[in-house]
Formats: sequence, C-alpha cells, structure tokens
Amino acid sequence: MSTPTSDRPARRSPPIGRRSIDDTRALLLATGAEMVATESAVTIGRVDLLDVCRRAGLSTVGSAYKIWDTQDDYRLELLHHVLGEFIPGRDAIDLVTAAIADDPDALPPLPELIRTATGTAIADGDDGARHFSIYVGLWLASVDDAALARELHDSDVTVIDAYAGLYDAVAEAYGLEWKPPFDARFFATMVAAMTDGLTVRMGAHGDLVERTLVRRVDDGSEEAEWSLLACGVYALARAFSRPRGAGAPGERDGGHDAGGG
Amino acid sequence: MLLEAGAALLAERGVSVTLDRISLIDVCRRAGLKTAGSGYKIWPNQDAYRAELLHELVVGSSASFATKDQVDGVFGGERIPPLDELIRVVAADNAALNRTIYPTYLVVWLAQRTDAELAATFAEAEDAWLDALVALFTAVVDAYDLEFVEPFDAAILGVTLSALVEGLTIRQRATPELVPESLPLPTGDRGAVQDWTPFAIGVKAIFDAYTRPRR
Repeated sequence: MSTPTSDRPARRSPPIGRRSIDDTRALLLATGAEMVATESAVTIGRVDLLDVCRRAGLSTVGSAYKIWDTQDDYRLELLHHVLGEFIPGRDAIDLVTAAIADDPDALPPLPELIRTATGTAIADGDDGARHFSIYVGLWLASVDDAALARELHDSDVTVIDAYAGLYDAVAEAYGLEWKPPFDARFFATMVAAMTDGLTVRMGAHGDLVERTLVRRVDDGSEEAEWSLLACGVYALARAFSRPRGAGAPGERDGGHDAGGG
Repeated sequence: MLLEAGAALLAERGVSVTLDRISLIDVCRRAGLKTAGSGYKIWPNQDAYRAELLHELVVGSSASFATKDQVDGVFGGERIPPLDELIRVVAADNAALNRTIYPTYLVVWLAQRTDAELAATFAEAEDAWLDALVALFTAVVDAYDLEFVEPFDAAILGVTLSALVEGLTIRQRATPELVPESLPLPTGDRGAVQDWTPFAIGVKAIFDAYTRPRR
C-alpha cells in the first residue's frame, strides 16, 4: 500500500536555504496531509498554509507562496496529492496481473489466490489508519463541496476500474464468467465496500476484524489462515461467478433457503 | 431539544462538519429560541454543549444500526417468510436507514480517534450494539434451523455485514453509478424477477457461505 505521509517532514528535511523548490513542495504537501489526517478540525478545504509552514518548521510562509499563488492553489494540489496516493493495493494489482501474464498455468487454486492477495488489504497500522482517516475526511467534506465530490468520484472510479480489470483477468485465467446481472465492476465495488467497511469496523472492533480464521474451503484444500476480508471476498466471488458456460436460461440463483412456515 | 437541534445542524452541514463549528447560538435559533440564554443555563460553555452532543451522537448513531425491530416486525406475522425474502426486504430497509445516519456516525468515528474520553464512550456503545446484533443473528439462524459453518459465528457475521453496509454507503455517495439502487434476480416464485439492493445481494452471499442447514 502506498503511503501519502510516509516521506514525512521537518526533522529529516534539509536545512532551510538548501531546500529546493521540489523539496519544499513535497514537505508542505506531506505536512498538510498529516494535518488533515490527524487533526479532526482540519479538512482540506480549511487547511491554512501558514499553519502548514509552521508545522513544517519554516519560519515564514514566503517560500510557499513562491510555489503556489494562493491558499486555494495549495489546497487543490494537496487534494490531488492525497487522492493520487490513496490507491490501496496497487502493488497487489500489479503482482497478480504479472503472475497471470507470466504463466497462467502456474497460478495457485483460486481460493489460495484470494486468501493471499486480500490478506493484507485492510488499512493496517498507523499509516493505514491515517490514510483511511484522510479519505473519510474527504468523503464527509464532499457532502457540501461539489468540486471535491467530483475529484473524489473520479479518483474512486479510477481505482474501481483498475480492480475491475484485474478481476476480469482473474476470471478469464480461471475459466470463470460473471453470473448475470453481475460484472467485474460490481464485484470490485462490493469488495471495495467491504474493505472500507472493515476498516471502519477496525476502529470499533479491532479484535474481531483482525482475527485470523483457520478454515478449509470446500474444495479439498489444506487448512489455512484466512482474514475476515479474504473470507468475505471469497464468499462474494463464489456468489457472483460460475464456470464459463455453466449458465442456463431461467437458472435460479443458488444458496440454501431453509425458510418456510 | 437542543441536542436534537445540534444533531440536525451537524447532519445538514455535512462536514465542513467538524463539531467545533456547531455554535450554541445557531443551535438555539434552529430550535426556535430567540436567544442562547436558555442554552447557557444548561451548559456553562459551548465546549460543554459539544461534549454532550458528541456523547449523544455516539450512543444514538451506534444504536441506529441495530435492526432487531425490523426483524421482529417480519417475525411478528403469522408466517415466517423464506430466508431469502427476509434478507431481501430487511437488508433493503437497513441500507436506506444507514444512508441518512452514516455521515454523522463517521464524524463521531473520526473524532473518537483523537479523543480518549470519547473513544471509551464510543467503544461502550459499539460493544452494546454488537451484543444486540449477535442476539439478532443467533435468533435468525435458530429460526431458520441453520447453524454456522466453522469457524464463523454470529459476531463475525455481524461485523462483516455491518462493514458491507457501511462500505456501500461510502461507495454510494462517492460513486453512485457503481452502486445501483437494485438489481433484478430471478428469486421469486417460478423464477420471477425480484429487485435486490446491492447490500441484500451481499448479505445473501455472506449468509449462504457462513451458515448451512443444521445437521
């Protein structure tokens, strides 16, 4: 997972005067992102460039205004900085895509792929929690900020489409197809929703969300440790896909229904 | 009344939304009072008011997730509906409810991360809510003569389904075109098409995977 605030600021930065424009830009963006993530009263729309400079250890705001003409210019770039970095699991997408392209025959069984690829996708540790807090702050702010809502929307669609492409490739590699009316985009949206939701739940029930479940999926595989997210993704994958060509007109959706009166 | 007015203001303003922007004068006006005087007879200052408002929001928003009343309503009839129908109807109601209260919940969720006192209240309310959810899912599983597939249990099911509805609420606002109001599935009598919300579809997938008919 990428870390928008990992190249964080002041103490490790070059002394003022020897810092380049690029260094100052990176420093002030990282500092602003940190403030938005950790201070509940600071949203991107309200972050103050003077405060950011102070926090970053700059004695005046002058060097910032050599980079940005106005606070709004800074805030806009900060927004792009945060959204651009907040693409969870990009490494996992690249890894699985490369594995499929290299040698589809060497792929592990699908449950194993899901178990290992989703095992660490929940925003974990301080950095992960901080990134998700930034996202939540943006999401809340977008309620009454149409421009921000558009930025957030476009960024989210980019992420979902990246994952949808991956899931289509996985389905193809494993000889699966989506059960109508489902498709890769819907599956990606559901998985993203579960990931987001479990990250929120982690703040309330971390002991449960972080539990590792030892289970054997019903394909004769070995017992293995599964995260809650991996279990959920596997359940959705089974419900939304089927072996290619297995569909029949008028087919009923599967599952057990023990109801009745 | 003033706590309700504050909660309403918070929800309306969305979020520019940090609590520190809720002023007692605005709240009193919203509540139909001409001055803030009566507010200050109750709370010595704005911070005291905000602290109590936050406490109310924590308890209120967490409790709102529980759906026992909805299920009791369904179970209260003469006939227990098929499980799929219960899921389809109750999950649709729950998702709609969540959309209205969720921004407020997230404001509290964010605030408690940096406020130890609030975090303790938050954890207490969340635990009570999870207990209620466990009781609910245990009752549903029993009523339909199901059992949990190992290693799942009612708490895991509750947390997972809550995560799903919360995540879908976030997705629905950010990218509404990716979260359709409903999708048609042939689950009615003789394959008749019925509308399923994305949340209900997810609940069914998870329920089918985590439970089975009792052996």
